[in-house]
Amino acid sequence: MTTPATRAAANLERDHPAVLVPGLKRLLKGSWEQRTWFSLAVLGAVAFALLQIATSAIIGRVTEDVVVPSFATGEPELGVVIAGGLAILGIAVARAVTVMARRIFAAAAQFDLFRLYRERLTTVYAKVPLLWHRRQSTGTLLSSVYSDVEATFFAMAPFPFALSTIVMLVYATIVVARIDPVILLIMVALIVLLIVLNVLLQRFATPIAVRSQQLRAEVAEIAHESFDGANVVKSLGREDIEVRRFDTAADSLRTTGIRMGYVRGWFDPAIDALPNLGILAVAVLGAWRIGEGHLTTGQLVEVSYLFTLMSLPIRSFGWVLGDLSRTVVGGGRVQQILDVTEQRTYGPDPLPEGPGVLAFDDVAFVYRDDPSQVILGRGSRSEDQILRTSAALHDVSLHADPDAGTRVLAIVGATGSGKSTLALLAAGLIEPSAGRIRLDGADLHSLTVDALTEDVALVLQQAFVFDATVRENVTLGEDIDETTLRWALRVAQAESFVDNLPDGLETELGERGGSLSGGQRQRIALARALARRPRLLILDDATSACDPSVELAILDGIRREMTTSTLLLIAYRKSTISLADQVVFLDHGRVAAAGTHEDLRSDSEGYRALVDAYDEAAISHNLLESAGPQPSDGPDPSIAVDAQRARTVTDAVERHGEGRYRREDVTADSECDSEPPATTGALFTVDPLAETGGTAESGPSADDPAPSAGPALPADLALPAEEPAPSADDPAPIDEEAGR
Amino acid sequence: MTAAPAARDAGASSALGSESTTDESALHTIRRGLSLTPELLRGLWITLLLAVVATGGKVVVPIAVQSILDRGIIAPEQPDLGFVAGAAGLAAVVLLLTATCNVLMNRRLFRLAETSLATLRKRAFRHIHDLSLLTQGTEQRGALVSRVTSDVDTVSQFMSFGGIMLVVMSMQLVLATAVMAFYSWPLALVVWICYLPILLIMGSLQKRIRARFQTVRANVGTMLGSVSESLVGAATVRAYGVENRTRSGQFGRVRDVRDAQFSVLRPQSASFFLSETADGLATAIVVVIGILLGTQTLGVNLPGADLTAGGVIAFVFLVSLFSQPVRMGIEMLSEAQNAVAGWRRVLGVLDTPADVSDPGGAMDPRTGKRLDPRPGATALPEGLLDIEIRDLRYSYPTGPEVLHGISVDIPARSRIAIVGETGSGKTTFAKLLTRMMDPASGELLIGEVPLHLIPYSSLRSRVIMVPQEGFLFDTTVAGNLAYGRPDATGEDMRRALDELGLGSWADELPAGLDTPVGQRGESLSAGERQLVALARAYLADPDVIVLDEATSAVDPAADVRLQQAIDGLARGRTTITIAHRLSTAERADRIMVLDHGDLVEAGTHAELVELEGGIYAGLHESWVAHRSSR
Repeated sequence: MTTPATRAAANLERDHPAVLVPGLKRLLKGSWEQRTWFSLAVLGAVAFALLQIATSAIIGRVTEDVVVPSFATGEPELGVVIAGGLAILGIAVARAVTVMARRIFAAAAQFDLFRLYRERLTTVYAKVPLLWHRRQSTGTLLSSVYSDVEATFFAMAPFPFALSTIVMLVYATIVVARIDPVILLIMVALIVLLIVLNVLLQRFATPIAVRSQQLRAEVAEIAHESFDGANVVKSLGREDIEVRRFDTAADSLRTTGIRMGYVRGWFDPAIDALPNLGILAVAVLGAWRIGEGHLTTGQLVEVSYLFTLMSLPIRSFGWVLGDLSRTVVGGGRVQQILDVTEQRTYGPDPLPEGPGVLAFDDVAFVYRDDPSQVILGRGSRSEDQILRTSAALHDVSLHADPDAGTRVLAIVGATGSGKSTLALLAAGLIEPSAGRIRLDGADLHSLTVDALTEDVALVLQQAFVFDATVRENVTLGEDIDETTLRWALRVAQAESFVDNLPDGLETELGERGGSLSGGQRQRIALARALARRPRLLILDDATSACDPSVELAILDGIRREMTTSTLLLIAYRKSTISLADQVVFLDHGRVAAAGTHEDLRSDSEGYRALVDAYDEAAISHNLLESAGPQPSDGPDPSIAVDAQRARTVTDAVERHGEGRYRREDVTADSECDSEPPATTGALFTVDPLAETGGTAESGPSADDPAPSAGPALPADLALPAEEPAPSADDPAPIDEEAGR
Repeated sequence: MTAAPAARDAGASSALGSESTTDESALHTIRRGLSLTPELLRGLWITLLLAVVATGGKVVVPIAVQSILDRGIIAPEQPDLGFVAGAAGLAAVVLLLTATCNVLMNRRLFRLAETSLATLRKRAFRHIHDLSLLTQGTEQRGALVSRVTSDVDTVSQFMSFGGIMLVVMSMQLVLATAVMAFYSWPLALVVWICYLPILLIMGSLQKRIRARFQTVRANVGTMLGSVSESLVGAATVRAYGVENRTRSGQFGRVRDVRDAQFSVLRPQSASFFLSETADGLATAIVVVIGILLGTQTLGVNLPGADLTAGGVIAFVFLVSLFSQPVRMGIEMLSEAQNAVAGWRRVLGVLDTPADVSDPGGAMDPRTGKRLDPRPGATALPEGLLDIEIRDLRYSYPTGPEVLHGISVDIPARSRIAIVGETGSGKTTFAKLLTRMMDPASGELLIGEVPLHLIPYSSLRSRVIMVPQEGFLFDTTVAGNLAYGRPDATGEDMRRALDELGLGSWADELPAGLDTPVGQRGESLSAGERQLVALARAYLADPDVIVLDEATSAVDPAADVRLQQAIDGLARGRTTITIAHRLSTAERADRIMVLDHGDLVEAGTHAELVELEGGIYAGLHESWVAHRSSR
């Protein structure tokens, strides 16, 4: 995607050709897009110009008919004098109205153009494929929305006024031409000078403007990234590095700003001086022409007055010209984004009826990180110049057919084996480089956007939570009824902690769900997917931050409740994997083995090593993290009990979790009792502890009501003899027997 | 995603302490702004002098034209070409001189404005890093970014142009008044009387304009926050096909900005209308009164009122000389309100006190200089660092206590594992230990120095936290490692990686250490990100490491590497690990078990395993059972 625009931007910097034409074109395009506001503003400006000319006529009339006679007679007629005054006032009011109209309408056009282009940019941001975003820096894209758009139409405000100058210029030319051709020459010279000045300005200003907009993006980029990584910066005490990084960019921006100021610094006074020099020239030449008898004194005065009158509009013309380089540069940057043609494409077909058969046929995927596709700045960094292509998947074929007994398909593989790529492909978020992906026989890319997003749901490991309420995060604005919403939260094991949030479902979660733990964020994201009851649900390690017991409860719930969904699981934990009907073992982007978990365990050495290693970590994690239901952060109490049944290791909970159980939670859990034994059996096979682990009764301290300070405790340890009072979130009475 | 922007903005501004300053006057904001960046006023008198001369340029030509007409053309029989050329030439020279002064003034202005605002921008950026709202995420990143970008730009745009225009225009006003008074003081008085009410109304109009500009700035912040969210959440947005909804949310924020801008137009246009009308009113009254006074129709003979017809006409032109700067001044004044609004948001950042400040001399956001070290500030002693913790308590500002008096000794070079369920206070404890935040009460001594008295230069190089989520910066692997030790050479990095057993891993990267890691490190896997984070900490060579063990599963090869790297990192140092694996705890010298904010068990593995009814013993027993069963 080395677009012409990319090259154009590069050329612009090198050759900085005149920007007059492209700049005016861009402004005229903007004017056309805002033609209503704009024409009103131009009307106002023209009316203002005409009224200014009229003002001079009125003042002339008042001078001749009121002032001079009054002084001549020495006895002014009061009525006439007041009429003269009123005439002056009247035209001033009319002028004021036109000024107002011009200002308001021009500003309205400008602000609405900001809006229009910002909307267009955000539309592109929403439309481009996911991979495009991986190449662009958030800060830069953000800067375009604000700074580049503003730069593009900065000159829009004085533009109508500048255009009205043409009216004045035409009028003045006619008047002057009628009076004297020599003086007309001065006017022509003036206009030529104006153009020369402008060309000079653009030559100097454009490269600076290019740099300036780049730096603005860079400053935003650094700030955005630095604030994003604030924790690292703080913990390593590297504020200074960040400050240096930011300061370098800010200082460059300052230097560029000063350089721009130096250029604009002479341009504005020069533009101001032009009409004045013109008047002086008129005076000298006029005196000569009067001597020659070609001109009267009165005509000379009239011409000088015209020049004075024109100085303000000419200045406004100067403002437009002065900002034209920003228009071209900012506009170019904006256009570069608007020109992005990459788009997620959808087909015309609805999803055919079907059980949710997912099939990959010889699918391959190659990532291409082409530096030329990185737009807007940054391109100068050496690391961005490397063209990286990496093949993520080769010849992947897989089949998940619920009717054929494969409703849950697990994808297992080491880091970098291509699992996540496979998930993105299955969700239709990226297109395969080769091969076909079909859902119920329909190629994913022939499906409509609605079919794809309603019937396929993907949950990522990095759960993204919007700065909105829980409800909005789950529904995403769709019409999802309360029952479904609650059900989704319950299956995602999020209901209980959501209910404990200050405002329940209506709790604002903060930017990126800042107030939640990682596991809670994942559960919200999961509920979002479940609430849609998709035909294909893809979980890409979507429960990694949850305790294994919670994870198990979630997956078990999904299995039980989502009876019409095909489930594609990217998983690590043995317990999770064993839920799957079939397992595909990916190795370096290829399918190394496929079959049931048991088959693979016995047949594939690599597979066995992998899942065993995962499991070690998972189980000890489970032990450490699921030591009991915790009011706001832990697994739902109901799950803990569920997990207890599934994994007796949690008897530790029972011993030490006194006071943390609520009776109602335990009873509420009874719904889990309806769990089909077959599934439970599957769970048990995951965990050998089910057979061997200590039960509640056999636990060494089943009757011990509170942990006592053992010999291991140092003397200075202030250990409470009793558990602290139950927290406000957990007011239920202590009843350690409740669960038994 | 759809939260009301107004509500959010209220929250944001209160977080940044700018709420209290909403009512402050523009002058006060400007004074405060200037006091923060006094360089803006450096050599002000030179600038003003240049401005005076430059302003003179505005009257040169009218005066020259008048005298050319009077003395060169009308008075003599034949136009006196010599005089005309001389006068015009002289005027041209003066004009060039004043234009030159104008150029010089502009250069000074741009230099001063850009320099001082770069300073402001940098200080705000620096200070944001000292604020907990950043780490606690109470303000949107995008909105924070706007405070060091668009808000500052608004001020600099004004400063380099409008600010001095205001000064110039007021001087032109004085000049015009003087000339008018010279011609006829009663008429000059009349002009002022006509303008006075307008200037008075303008005061309240400007106040409204300012308030509305403030909304514009806040809405811009919210807009950028919302766009930033959709960019970071691009994958989720796409997966759910909610592009349209996200977009319409953004459209809403974009429109909020436009509407706020529109709402500024109303008071603004009123002020334009008034200033334009005032010009007409003054001219009309000057004509009427001028005639009446000049012809002594009113029966009074004021001194200075002996006007002729020519005098009255001349005065009409003087009025326009007066009204032009008023008009421009009013326009600049309303632009100034925008700048003031932006300035205030930047100042709002600087006004928010840092939550945890550096005892070795915190950065004073108002001066950009380091404050004097806190009395008693002591760098960590050389050698081994024992840690003593007495009755450490913590509660969130508006929440309940989450750590209830932890007391523990951590001898130097010991390996401590902290075990406890989510929410038990492990993370809080780690954050207190690394002084990411300060405790509510209690003592925390490292090397016998109270933690809050250890300068950051000493603390941050010797006590380091390795967070679970290894955030990486969008540069190369080497660039990220340099965060650990900025002066590390490529060789140092290689050696560090080799010592951590990561040499082969680094070799396998597409471009070795020069491999770009992508935004937030997303081109690497979670495990690899953590490897870089570990190597980064290793390069920093601290004495104490607080490590948050990753919960996410990694594959066996990566896990071996990770464990190896952690072991390498821990060698010869004190490590306090928030353990998510029992094997980590087992290997530790001592284990601390936290439970609901209490330290309930502490001791060696052997001791805790023996502890009858202990949490750890229970966990361990189950774990052993599990392992042996496999």
